[in-house]
Amino acid sequence: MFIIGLAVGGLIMAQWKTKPVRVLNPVAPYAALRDTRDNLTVEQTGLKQEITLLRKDIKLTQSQLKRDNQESQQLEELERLKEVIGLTELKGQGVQIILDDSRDLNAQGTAEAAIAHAADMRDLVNYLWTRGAKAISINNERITSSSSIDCIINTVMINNTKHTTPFVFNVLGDPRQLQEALQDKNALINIYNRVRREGLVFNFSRQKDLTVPAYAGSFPTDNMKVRGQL
Amino acid sequence: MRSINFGLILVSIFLGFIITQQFYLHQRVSQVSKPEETNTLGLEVANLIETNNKLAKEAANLKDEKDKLNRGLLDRQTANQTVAENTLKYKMIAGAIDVYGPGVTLYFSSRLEQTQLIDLLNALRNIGAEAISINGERITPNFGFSATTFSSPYTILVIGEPGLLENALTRRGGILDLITVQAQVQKQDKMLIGAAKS
Repeated sequence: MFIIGLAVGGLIMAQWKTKPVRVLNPVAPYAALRDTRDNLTVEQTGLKQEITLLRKDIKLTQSQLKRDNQESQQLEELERLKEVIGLTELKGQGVQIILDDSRDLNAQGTAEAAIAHAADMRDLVNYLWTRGAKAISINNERITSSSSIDCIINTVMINNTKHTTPFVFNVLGDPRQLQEALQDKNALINIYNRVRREGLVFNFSRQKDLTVPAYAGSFPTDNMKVRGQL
Repeated sequence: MRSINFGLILVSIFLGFIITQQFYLHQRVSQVSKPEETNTLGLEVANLIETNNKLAKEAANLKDEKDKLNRGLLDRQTANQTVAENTLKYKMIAGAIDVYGPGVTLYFSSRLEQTQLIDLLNALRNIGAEAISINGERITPNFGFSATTFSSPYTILVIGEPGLLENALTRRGGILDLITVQAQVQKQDKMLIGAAKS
C-alpha cells in the first residue's frame, strides 16, 4: 500500500508539473510554421493563376494588335520566341511517363532506392532533351531554362512548388523515338536496376493528344543586358 | 478487509488513468513537434517567401506590359515599343542573342560526372542564374547533354547577382559541397555569354 501510494503521489506530481503551457512550447512554433506554409502555398497558387491570366490577356491583345497592325512579322516572331522559352501551352503527340515510389513491400534493396527522387527527374529531363523532346511538363509544371527540381529533406519541389508522387511527365515529340529512348536500359541503367530490385514504378506510353501547360513562373533578367543596353 | 480491497481498486484505477494520460500526452507532443518536420517546414516557408516575391514581381511586370499593350491599341508607337522590348527579353532567355552582365565564373580542373553537371545546372537555376555557358556553349531552354558533351577542364560562366551566386555556391552545404568537387569561383563585374550556335 505504501509503495502504491508513493507511486500515485509521484504521478500526481508529474501530472501537476506537466502544465499545458510547457507542453505546448515545442508545438506552438511548429503549428505557426505549418499555418504560414499553408498560407504562402495558397498565395503562390493565386499568384501563378494571376500570371497565367495576365499572359492570356496579353496574348489576346497582341492578336488584336496583329489584326490592326501591319508589323505582324514582329508579333509572329514574339509568339515563336514565347513558344521556345515555354510561355505557350502546347498540344501534340508524345509520351507520358509515370514515375512513382515502389509499392512492393517484399522488395530487396534499400528504402531509399525504392522511392522516386528529384535526382531521377533531373536525369530524365536531361536525357529526354537529348533524345528529341520538344516540351516537357512534370505534374503540370512546365520545364524551362529557369526550372529547378529539388528535394528539401523529404519534399520534392518543381518550379519551387511542392509536388507528391506519382510524378507524371508529359513529353511532346516523336512518340516512337521517345519510346525507344525510354526503353534503352543501358541509358537508364540506374532507374531500370531499381525497377527490378526495389520495384520502383517507371511506366511510359505513347500518346496522341498530350498537353504541356505554359510556364507560370518568372524568368530572372535583372542583370542580363545586350550590347545596345550597356 | 473489504474497504482495503475497495481502496486498492480505486487507487489502481486512478493510477491506470494517470499512466495512460501521461503516455498519450507524450505521444501527442512527439507527434506534433517532430524536429525533422519542423526543419522541413522552415525550409519550405523560406523557399515559398522567396518564390512568391519573384512571382509578385513578375505579375507586376505583366500588368505593366498589359497596360502598355492596351494603350498600344490606340497608340501604335507604344505597341511597337512593347513588342520590341519583349522580343529582346525573350531572345535573351532563349539564348538567341549575346548577353552581357555581372555574375560568377566557375573553373573545374578535374573531370565531372554527368550527374554532377546536371545537379550543378539545376542548382544554378534554383539560385537565379539568368544565362549560363559551359566551355563556351550557351545553355538554352531545351538543352540536354551526354556524358561526353563536355570534358575537363570546365569553365562555366553564369550571369546573375554575383554576391548571391558566389555565396550560394561556396557556402557550407551548398551545391559544390554536395557534389563534392573543388572549384574556383570568382565574382565578375561584366562578362559576355555568346548566343547559342544552333
